[in-house]
Amino acid sequence: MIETSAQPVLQIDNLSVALPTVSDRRFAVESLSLALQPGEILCVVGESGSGKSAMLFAIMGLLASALRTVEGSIRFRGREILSLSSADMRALRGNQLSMIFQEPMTALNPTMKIGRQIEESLRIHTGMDRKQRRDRAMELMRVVNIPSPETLRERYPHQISGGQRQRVMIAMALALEPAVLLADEPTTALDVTTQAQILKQIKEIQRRSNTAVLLVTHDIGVVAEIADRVVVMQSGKIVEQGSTQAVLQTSQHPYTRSLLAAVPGIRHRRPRQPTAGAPEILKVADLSKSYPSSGFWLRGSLRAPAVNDVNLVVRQGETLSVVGESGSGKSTVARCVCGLLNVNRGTITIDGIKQDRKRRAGIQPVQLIFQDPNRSLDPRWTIGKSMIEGMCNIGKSKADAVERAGDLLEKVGLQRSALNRHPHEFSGGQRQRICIARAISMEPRLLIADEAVSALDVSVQAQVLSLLAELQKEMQLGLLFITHDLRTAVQISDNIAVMYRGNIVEYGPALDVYSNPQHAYSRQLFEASPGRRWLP
Amino acid sequence: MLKLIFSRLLAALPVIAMVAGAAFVFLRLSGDPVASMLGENATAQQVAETRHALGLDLPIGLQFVSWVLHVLRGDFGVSIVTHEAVWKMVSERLGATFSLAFTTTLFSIFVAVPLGLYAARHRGSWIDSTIVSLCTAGFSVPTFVVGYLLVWLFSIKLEWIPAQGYVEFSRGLGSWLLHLIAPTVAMSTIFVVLVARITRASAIEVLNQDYVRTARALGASELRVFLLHVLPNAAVPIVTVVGVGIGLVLTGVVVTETIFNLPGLGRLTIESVLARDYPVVQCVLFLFSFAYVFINLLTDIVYSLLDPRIRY
Amino acid sequence: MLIGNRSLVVACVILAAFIVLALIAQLSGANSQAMATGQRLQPPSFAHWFGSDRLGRDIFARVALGTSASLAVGAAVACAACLIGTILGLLAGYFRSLDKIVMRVMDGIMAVPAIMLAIATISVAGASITSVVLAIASHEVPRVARLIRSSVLSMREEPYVEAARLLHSSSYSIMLGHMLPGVLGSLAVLGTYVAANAMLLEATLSFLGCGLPPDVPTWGNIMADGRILFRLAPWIVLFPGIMLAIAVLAINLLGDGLRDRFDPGNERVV
Repeated sequence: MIETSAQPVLQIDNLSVALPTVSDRRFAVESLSLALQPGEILCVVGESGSGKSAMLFAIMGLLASALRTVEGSIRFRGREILSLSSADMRALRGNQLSMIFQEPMTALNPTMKIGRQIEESLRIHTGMDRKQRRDRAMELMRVVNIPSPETLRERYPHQISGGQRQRVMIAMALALEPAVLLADEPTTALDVTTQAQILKQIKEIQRRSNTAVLLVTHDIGVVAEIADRVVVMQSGKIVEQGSTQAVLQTSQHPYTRSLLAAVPGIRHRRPRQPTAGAPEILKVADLSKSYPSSGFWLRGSLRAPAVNDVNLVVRQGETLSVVGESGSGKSTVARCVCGLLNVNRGTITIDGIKQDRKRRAGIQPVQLIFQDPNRSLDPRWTIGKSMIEGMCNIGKSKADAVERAGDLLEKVGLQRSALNRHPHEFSGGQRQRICIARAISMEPRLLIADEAVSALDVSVQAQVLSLLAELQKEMQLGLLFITHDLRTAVQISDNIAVMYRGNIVEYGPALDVYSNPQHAYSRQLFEASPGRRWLP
Repeated sequence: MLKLIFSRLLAALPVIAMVAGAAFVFLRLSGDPVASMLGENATAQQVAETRHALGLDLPIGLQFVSWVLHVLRGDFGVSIVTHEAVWKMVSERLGATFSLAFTTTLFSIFVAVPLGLYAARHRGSWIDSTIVSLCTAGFSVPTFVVGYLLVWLFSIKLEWIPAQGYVEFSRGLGSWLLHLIAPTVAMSTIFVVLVARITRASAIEVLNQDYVRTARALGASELRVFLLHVLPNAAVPIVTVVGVGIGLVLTGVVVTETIFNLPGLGRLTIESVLARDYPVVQCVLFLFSFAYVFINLLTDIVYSLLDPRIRY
Repeated sequence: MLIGNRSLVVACVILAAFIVLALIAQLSGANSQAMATGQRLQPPSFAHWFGSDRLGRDIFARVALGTSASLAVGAAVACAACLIGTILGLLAGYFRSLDKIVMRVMDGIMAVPAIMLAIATISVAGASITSVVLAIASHEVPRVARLIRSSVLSMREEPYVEAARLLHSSSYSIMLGHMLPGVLGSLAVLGTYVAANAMLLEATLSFLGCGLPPDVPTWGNIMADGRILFRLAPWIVLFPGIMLAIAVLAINLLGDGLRDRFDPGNERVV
């Protein structure tokens, strides 16, 4: 399948792409060289800001006007493409050189039918008539396993699921059987089970049409799952390349090793003392919540998830992970527990006190860490102001609050001087620590982390997780950890609850659930985790 | 779709009722028409008699109810000043106002949308800057100044078009248009500018969307990108502004009719308000608010046709 | 940073010039009513820069005096409309229950064309500066309220607002502390557009004879005066009109400049 002796279908030599002068480094991509052989899957892995996406856009000639190629060559099938005219470049795009993007929802034209969008490259590059285009589109839909192609062809992007949208994108890209497919984080925005299907799809494409795939990702699991060769990037430069086996298992390079070490999983799990007899901090019984239908406008599009008869318990010093995909209701549970949402049925008991159905958020000793560190802090307020907001509300004097805020910042690994700075001066990981410090300042008994590390780079994730573990031990907190990432759940929890469509389908000690899932869905979920076999 | 129309109409009723009611009360607060009508020498007795004859001495609530009942039968009453049937007065003038609004809207859209798209396409270049500056300038000049400039240049100095008056459509397309050119251009200044700005802004926003990048990645030419991907998606804000802008047009109508001596609703309104001619003002306000509601309904329908996310 | 933005600079310079003109006119005690019957309807010349009207009054002096009235109306309307509109917008955006009612009322106000609303208000309240300001402001309030409301609606969904609720902050402290600072930028920009529109509307009202009393020199009043004699003496209408256009243009440029500062156009960077 992989013809190493043949000429590479894509050859990049010494490519450098300059960033605008205001940025913190000079180049998005610096002196980059790699070769893509026909029919191989090459994964480029790196954290955010490594320049991997910029490289893909440079190949396609789609760089934003602020960035420019300063030197280097890119040869596609032996032909230099950096110096091509825009008309010639356009002839290549979608035709022999295709690309798929990260967010399928926004990458599809919302006002154009699916069938029409799949036919788009056919209309641009070929002289096919209506019937021929239609047939080809149907064929493509079958190749990428889109269910009921006849019906879906007439639908609009917002009416189909995320996984289906990504399949549509793949169909669009493959319409003219390109020699090279560029993929920019194609599965990052998808659920685990969908992710597994799409990765399988890509492998099948490689097998069927011998298309070479250059796939960019931050997820080492994806690399382990489908890559033939791997390239590791850091700050715009390539630090290592080689076969997947070599890089993942026998790499000597420090950066690669640190990346591999940071990937969460069961191998990192520390032994946890069972907290026998510890008091219950959280008890949820028969929790049910459904959203009222939103009337005329949202009819037909994906409905808001409901939660059905959920029961859970979190003890002092214990971590419970609630695992599920989008639409499973796990975030709804989190919001009900902390009081941001009212429940329809059921009881929530915190620290022995039963909570009212219609209670105001924040009366109970519960705090929540949100997913997006960029939007969890008011961008116009200084860190100090954000930190003391809560403490002043519960009666502390301003001076005391500021003092304590400084203490807490130092506790989470930041400096006291941060109090006078603004959120945008800090990285995502640092902001998340600030949010944790803010949450701790309210002296909660239960801390809820709603996908709190999902938006962070792997290495940063590891740091935040260890911070949480430390704080939990010291303050004897109960931790309710909401996540879609199984690896993390298995690494840090005492117990795991698996949710599917609003119900808990599996609930038990973490190790038991991991090694022997009972419910069909849990099994499916665990099986789908990319790279599970190579990187436990 | 029918459900949409029905629910919108239902929602609009309180608005119309509120406007009518507010107008009713407002007018009665603003002064007594009878006194000015009869002049200074009228005795108290004469004033009282006239008021009784016009039904103005009844409690406000009753007056309102009686008015509503009459309206439901199509009877808007009789003008206090001219003693003609109000509906007759109003309907005679509908033609001029409607023609002017119609030509202005059409002209503005056909000029503004391409202008805005062109500016967006060439964003940052001197073409874009020029168009934006022209728009800002156009927005700053009051309608009547433009009107007067046009009259001065084209009617007085060059004598190309008539300065005043209105010719009905039924009397010939040519002269109908000729009389409407200057007023249309005067009124369009503001409308064109508004629509062009929003077209440009909307198009720029769409150009930053991921699906435009996808289209380019498939090898689409810029023209194709604009026509097939940008325009359909940029249309919704444009339609919004056109709908809102018609309100501006209705304001401009009043002034423009005065300058160009067009026998329209605008002039009638001013004269009636100043003369405290209640029945006429009420009828006109009722019409205006109805037009507003109707235009909103139209724009909603157009939205749902343009954006499938609203339809489904 | 202020220097880099051309529109802002130009706008500020022009507005400063207008303010200086207004101050000089007020302080110098120039008499707007000084009639010189021998000098009637003179075209622009050295003696009368903008010409004279049918009563022999110097147009330039009248226009200079009119500057303060027009600018004052614009500023007053902007302040009033922004204040009321912000309060309504904040309340409507934050409290679902108030939203429906407030928006219905706003709809009702918007259903009436600006001119009519203004004329109606003035005929009730009489023709004084306060009533003119009120009349014009009442039309602009819905525009401000809608903008503030939509900003609030989107800010409500932000995690930092939810975090504030979890930190026991009251609704009012959230509105004042978190949301208000967030809308100040767009409010400033909108305020300038409201002021510009108000000046235009005031001129239109005066032109139609429904605005401030005729003896108060405003640009609209001067133009109204010259309406009938337009063929003979176009300068009576044209000069105030041009002054008005320049002033409004300057304010619009100010708004554009502010908007570019607060929200520079989205440039895609990979």
